[in-house]
Amino acid sequence: MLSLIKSELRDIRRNLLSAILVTISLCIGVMSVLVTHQLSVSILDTFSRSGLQGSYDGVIQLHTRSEEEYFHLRHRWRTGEMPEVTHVVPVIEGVLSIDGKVLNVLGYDPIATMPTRNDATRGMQTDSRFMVEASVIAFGTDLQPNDQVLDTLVIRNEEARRPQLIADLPTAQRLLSRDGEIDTLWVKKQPIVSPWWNLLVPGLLTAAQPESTDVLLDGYEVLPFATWNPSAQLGDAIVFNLGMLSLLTLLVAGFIVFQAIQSNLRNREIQVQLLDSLGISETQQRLLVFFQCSLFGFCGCALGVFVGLVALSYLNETSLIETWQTLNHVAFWKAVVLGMTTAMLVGVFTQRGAAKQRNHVWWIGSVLALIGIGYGLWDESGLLGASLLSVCFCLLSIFCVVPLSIRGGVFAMTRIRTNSITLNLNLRNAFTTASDIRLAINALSIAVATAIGIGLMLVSFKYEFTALLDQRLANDLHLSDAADISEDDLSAMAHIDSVRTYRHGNAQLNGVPVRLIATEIDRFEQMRYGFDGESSYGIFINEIAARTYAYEIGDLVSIDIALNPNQLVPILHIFKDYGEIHSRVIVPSELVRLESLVADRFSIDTSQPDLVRSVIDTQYPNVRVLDSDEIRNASIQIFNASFATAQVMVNIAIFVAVIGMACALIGMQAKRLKEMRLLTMMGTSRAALALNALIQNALIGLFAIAVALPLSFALAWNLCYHVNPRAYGWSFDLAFAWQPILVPVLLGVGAAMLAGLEPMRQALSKLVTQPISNVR
Amino acid sequence: MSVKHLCLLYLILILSACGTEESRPLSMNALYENPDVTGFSRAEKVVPFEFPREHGEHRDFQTEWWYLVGVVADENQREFGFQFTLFRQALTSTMPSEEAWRSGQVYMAHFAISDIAARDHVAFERFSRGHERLAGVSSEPFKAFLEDWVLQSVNTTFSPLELRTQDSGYALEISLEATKPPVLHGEDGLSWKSDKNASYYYSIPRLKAVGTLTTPEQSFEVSGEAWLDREWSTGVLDPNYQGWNWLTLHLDDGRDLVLFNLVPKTESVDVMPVGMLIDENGSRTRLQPSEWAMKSMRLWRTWPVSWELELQDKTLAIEPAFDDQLMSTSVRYWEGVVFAFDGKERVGTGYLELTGY
Repeated sequence: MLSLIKSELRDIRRNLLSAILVTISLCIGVMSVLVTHQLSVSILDTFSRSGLQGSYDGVIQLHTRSEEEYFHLRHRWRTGEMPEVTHVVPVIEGVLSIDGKVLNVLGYDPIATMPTRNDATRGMQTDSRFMVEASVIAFGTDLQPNDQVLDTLVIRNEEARRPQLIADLPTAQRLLSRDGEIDTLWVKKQPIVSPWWNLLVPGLLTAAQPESTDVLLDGYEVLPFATWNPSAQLGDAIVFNLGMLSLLTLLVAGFIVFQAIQSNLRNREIQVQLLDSLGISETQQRLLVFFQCSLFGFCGCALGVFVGLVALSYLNETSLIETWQTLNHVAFWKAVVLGMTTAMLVGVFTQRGAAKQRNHVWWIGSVLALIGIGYGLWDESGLLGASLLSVCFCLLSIFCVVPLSIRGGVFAMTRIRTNSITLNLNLRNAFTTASDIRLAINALSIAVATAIGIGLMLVSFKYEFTALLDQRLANDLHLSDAADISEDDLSAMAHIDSVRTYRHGNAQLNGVPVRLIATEIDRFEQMRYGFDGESSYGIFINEIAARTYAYEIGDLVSIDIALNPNQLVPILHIFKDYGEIHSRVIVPSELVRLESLVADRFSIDTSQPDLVRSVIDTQYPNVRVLDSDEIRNASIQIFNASFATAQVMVNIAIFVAVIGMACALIGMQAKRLKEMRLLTMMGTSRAALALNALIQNALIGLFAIAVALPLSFALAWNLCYHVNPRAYGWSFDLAFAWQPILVPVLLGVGAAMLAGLEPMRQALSKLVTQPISNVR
Repeated sequence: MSVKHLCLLYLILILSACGTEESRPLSMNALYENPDVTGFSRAEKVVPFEFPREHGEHRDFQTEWWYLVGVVADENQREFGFQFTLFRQALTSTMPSEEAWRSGQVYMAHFAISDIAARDHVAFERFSRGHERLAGVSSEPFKAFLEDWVLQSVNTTFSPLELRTQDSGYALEISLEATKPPVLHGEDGLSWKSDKNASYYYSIPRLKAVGTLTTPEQSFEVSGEAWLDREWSTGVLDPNYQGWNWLTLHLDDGRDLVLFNLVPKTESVDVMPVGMLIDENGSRTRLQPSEWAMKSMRLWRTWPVSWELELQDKTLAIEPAFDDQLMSTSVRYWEGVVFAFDGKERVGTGYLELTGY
């Protein structure tokens, strides 16, 4: 056996370039998984730092918002109702204006969260003052420890995306001037420790969770927690989508390794026959292949982990050792196990000799893909279903589109005859080669299709996002953190033509929570939200609210902070609200109790924006003043930054696919050598041979792109109409543009041609045959 | 070795690498995170106990508990153990405000049942802040409660008491009548746990228990005997110790026995053994360390559940009713029914508590 292993190692040395490329493919795949998982953990940590969210399953809205109702429901729970629930936590929420800034206040009973092993919640109790004195923990604010907020002590301040004050229940009641009130009960029914599969694929729990909770309480609706507080859901959706992209890279790498090993084996027919005649059994030979793949896997994993650590060190600006010490152990094991599994599965399933036509595999694969597509199209399947839809489109391409296209191409080539022998040869070779390197074609087409799909989705999104900005930024100046100014103050300033006031607060629409903005809704405001109807009586809701609570235009709703809470108001319009993750509602000021809201935002029309701005800056230094262009530019910057990671992941996948194509073509070089010898004997020059090889590679690349195009449109369609609405609640129409298609197409074709250069050079260098015309 | 074998081996390696994060038990201090004992009273000198006042809370001390264990049997002599404990922990030494939510007290309650025939032990845990609607203790009339788990006097006198607890289909509704008066531990109730640390500690060694015990399958009319412990202190456990062994026995001859010692972190530290024998009339006899000794005979996991007790002129075997009576609660400890054997004859029934293992 030892001599066989030595022979295998010698074989690897002979095909060193192929071995290196396979290892690099695996390395990149492992690196992608490692980096993505580690970044995902950081993202989730950021989202969960400012609260308890993520640990709870449902929210019960109290009808009377009283402590008495809480005690009553708690007693019902303790005496047997909701037996699956382990914790019921009373919560009060509201907004508070401090120094002109609006801060969300969340009050809860920390002892009701016990017993808990959740670091975030337990951390809140480490200072006994939290429950003994009036004190708050600030998140994402500029408040400092020992500062006072309305005679309430700031114990500490922690980083967070969203400014928020967390307080013990009675403290929050006092801050919000709502003694004796409780808004909601948060319920938990699962242990806090995440199931292991959510640790392996961060965000999977959210992606897979149904949009309703199965907790039942007579007389109450138990809302899923994510609909109440979607921050954690947003984080989960982001990391889940990123995780799926990293797995794409690994999938492509898997194809590549398989293709390379398979091609390599086919080139070793003589060696295989020799081993047969020496009495080496097939099992032993398969073990050798398995050994080879494992070796590639080991090297790829080791290299991938190292490169991943380097990348993380760069991203986090930490030393390599520090990065290694703080590396999430799940990220490490996940990357290594997936890398090794990919390599070893290839070792197990690689065939000796020519690939058999297994029509039933294609049939089964296609049918399963169609079933998956059907499931993904079902709206209730959530983000997981939408992701499955993308995967199944890829599977359909692999099991149906690519094989059929290749067969069709080969069939057509046997019948098409042109006057040019070279052209005939190139066409025939392109398709037969495509047939032989089917997996590399699949890898390249999936990578290119993903690039085009994401590109088209981004163009579509950006198109509508820009239109939305134009619509919303109709005024000259926009003031925020401006609760210390009144509309009268602003109107009294010189050069100000008009002022609009926007009041913010939390409210309930038919008993479900929303963020409410009250303002004067005239024709101008209607246009800002894209409403062109006639009626002026009613409210606007964003599409997240519409989707979350299944509201439609024309539905009648009650608003708890309305002047008349029993009055039903129609929904006039559902507006797009990109970037927003909460349910929002725009209501006319005259409908609601304005004292429940904080007026902290204004928009101004002025003929002298610079002058007005400088006056406001001087008189109200805490107020943030921005003009429309500044907001637009900042928004576009954020938009671009948000999708930069996805773009990088796709580019990595294309890079891996290019490497794979090179591996596959190297594997084909022996076959090509015979053909080149024949052409040389027929008088074809080396330059013409090189040109032929280049054309054949370009044709293979074009073929991969051709089969990628329908897949890319399917992926773009899925991203626009399923993934984004389900992940973030934003919808937009698919728009067509050449740029996102042309770039990956050129990259793909160019990559295929480039990938063929080295195999061609190798083939030409081995060519010793003289043309017949030169033979004397 | 074939490819399949290699795959199997690999799978085993993967599975051994994948594991959920183990839930680790917490210490009481980790839960409350208030190690600061400044301002709290300490048990340092003998003070006269006054009943029924002492049955209630002592909020000037940081920690306190009401602890009730018992062994009961139905008419077919099917035996059950039960435990109900209410712990109080003060978050502040300053007097709380009048606000209902700001009592400055946190309560933790444990309720457990040992079904000896089924060898089944279940434990439940609840937490609450002090609040008149959620948790608290009053002395006259006596009532200790955490939501619907209640131990309270039936009328104006402390005894008889009633205990009502339920969770997940298990329930206890038991009336308890003291058949012996309270006995004070240590030096008239001042029980030293080290050179510097002590607690105030008394017990009601025998209470006749009659009532209903319910499991998810059926209800049992049961009767038997229980033991009530009361202890309050501030920072009672010296840093040199990590836990304690505590044993109480209702002997069949009508006497009661309580023994405990501390579990030191190093062998050089004294285990501070304390023993007391209470006769049929309730008179106590303090046992000198030379009069008794306990030797661990067997471990269940890391817990020494089986002991040999040398008591005066006798050797008793202390055996658990069954091994797995672990309290898998936030603070993990072993608390279960034990039987005392003199040779093969069962001569007593009681409870053993092990912490710090």
